[in-house]
Amino acid sequence: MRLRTDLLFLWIFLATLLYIGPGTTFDHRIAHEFPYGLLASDAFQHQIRAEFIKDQDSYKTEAPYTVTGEEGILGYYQPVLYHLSVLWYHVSGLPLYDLEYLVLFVFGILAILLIYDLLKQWNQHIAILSVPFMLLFFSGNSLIGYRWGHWPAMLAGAFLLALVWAIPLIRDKGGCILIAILMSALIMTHGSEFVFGIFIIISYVLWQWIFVNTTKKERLSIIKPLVFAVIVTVIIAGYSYIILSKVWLTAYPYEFKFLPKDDGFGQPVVLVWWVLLIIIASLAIALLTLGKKTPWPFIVSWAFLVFGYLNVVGFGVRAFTMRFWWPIMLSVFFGFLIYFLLKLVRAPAPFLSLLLCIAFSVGLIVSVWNNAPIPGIMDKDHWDAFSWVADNAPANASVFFLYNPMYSQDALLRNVKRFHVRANEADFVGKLRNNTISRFYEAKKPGDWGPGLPYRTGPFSFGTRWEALWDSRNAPRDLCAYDIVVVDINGDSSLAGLFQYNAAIGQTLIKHPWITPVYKNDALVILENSKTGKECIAEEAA
Amino acid sequence: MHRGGSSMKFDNVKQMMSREWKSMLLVIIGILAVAYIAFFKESFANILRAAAGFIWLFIIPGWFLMSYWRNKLTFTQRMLFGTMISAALTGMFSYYLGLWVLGISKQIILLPLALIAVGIYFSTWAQPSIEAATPPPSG
Repeated sequence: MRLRTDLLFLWIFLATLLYIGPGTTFDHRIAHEFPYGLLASDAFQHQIRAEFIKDQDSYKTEAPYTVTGEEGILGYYQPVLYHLSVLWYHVSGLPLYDLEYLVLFVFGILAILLIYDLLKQWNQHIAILSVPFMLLFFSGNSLIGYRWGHWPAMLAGAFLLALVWAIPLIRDKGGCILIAILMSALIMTHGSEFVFGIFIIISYVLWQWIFVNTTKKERLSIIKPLVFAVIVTVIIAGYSYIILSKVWLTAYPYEFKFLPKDDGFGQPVVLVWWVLLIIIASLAIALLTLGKKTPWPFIVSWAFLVFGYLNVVGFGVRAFTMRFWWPIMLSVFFGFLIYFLLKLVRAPAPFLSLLLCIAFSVGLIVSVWNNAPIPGIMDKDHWDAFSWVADNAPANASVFFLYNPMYSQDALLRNVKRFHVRANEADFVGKLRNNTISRFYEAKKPGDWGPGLPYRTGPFSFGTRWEALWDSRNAPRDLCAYDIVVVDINGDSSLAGLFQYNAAIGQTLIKHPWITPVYKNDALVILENSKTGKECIAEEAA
Repeated sequence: MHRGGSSMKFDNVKQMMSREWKSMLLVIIGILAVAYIAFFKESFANILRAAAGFIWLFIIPGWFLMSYWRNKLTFTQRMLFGTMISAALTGMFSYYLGLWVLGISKQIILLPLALIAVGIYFSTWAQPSIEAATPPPSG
């Protein structure tokens, strides 16, 4: 009875997670006509990188259109997310941008189920009572990790939770191989989670030494598999670690500083004081009642709570990404507390735990979950236009985007797959207000500056190009010098004046026979200039 | 007929696979069912394509890779964790293969087959005797 009910419960849990997580984010479809549900530039950064890797069939270099037009920039980002997505694309034939997004959710959900299993190994009641709080993972600020584009960090987070589940196997034959595979995956998915992976292993060893192992021999027995795991990790991920350490850690070295918030990150998950009080109470009760039998799930959950506050000692936004996992990892505190309170009254029956789980789950879903679809910042018209440029413009064509506020999330512009610049707001709106159409507009060369546009100078050495390019990223640029001009002419009614101004620039350009509209839809027009450099605009009033 | 230790072990693996194929089938049906619930606006053909790709790339290799631990872990645990492990290995080795040997588009058959072969190798020749271990409860 228990066994079958348990499996049925797991499937219902999985279905619920899929429905309220990716189901809602994807508007209950898998394939979309354009990248759906992406709310920030970073999400497009990862979307277009996967697209380039698909086009190149490998990840040796960055796409020039991603790195301000530079050729030969090393493929510096940790590659696992992109490769999983591209492989899935090749097998299924569904849109890559959808599958890449889905990969994150699916492995996130698998990680949740593993943590549920870890709790179940300790106490089935507590596992079931923790489930409702895990559902909060797909609500509120926790979703920022997906929607704002912390994608590699989210996949690495899933591997991190798998490490939490697997670390108790380390003394078993072959267990250290599993740990090594996961640690390697962390290095090759998102480096900061690798550091948290080390912290988890340290937490486990300390827990073993303090709570479990009593003799010196027992305590030392964990060293050998750990050393073996390190050796295997070096073999698997050594190549990638060189890039991580020599490129990323050189560009972003650890710096001790207090970072209470980060505007570029969005709103980190915050625990209100009474929730924190419940967690502390739960931990105190556990330590008092369980003593030396305090189990691993409790210890590691406490570690995750601490990880989330490491922003006060220099971990910055990396600590905030750990908070995305708080609904999963801190759920045990609530599950345990409810179980403890129940036990004060009577021995909990499985039926009662299940009933409470359902009641809490329904209550929390109804109160915090929102099923309204959020399409994100891309739309079909822009996607079709960008795809048209990607498919039809010459490979060396350059693109000038006239101003549109949506382009401030500029990684989405990389979908034209060509070198591009975009008009800056201040200069452009200033000229709009002056009723002036100009040949020169200040425009930005958007790009993923990442760790400084690195290139390889030797097996273990790298140079960077950002120094020579950084100061010129914003400059007045000649509209007549670009092969393609993208003119937004329609959209949000509050921007009607801007679109009229854009249209007036377009009209001025097409007065010349060498500039012609080559693509048009409801939102924008694409103009092609066949005589780049030739004067196409004299200073005039709009 | 006398049979060597390795073939005995291989028989055990085959036995294990033949015992679990029904569970595997249920997993596949279950995946299709929950995906259809979550993505109810999607066509069944697309759900099938997505699920088939996921199962081929990650779940089946994970099942074989984790067969080494079949005496230690339940079927469900091996399914969940095996999928993670096969994704980790697939992502990493796809990167290396792409850099030096074989484009990603050509890896979609080879890579899962290689992981399945590795799983069979370890569960056949490195697996401790099945009789020596206490099998975990099914589930």
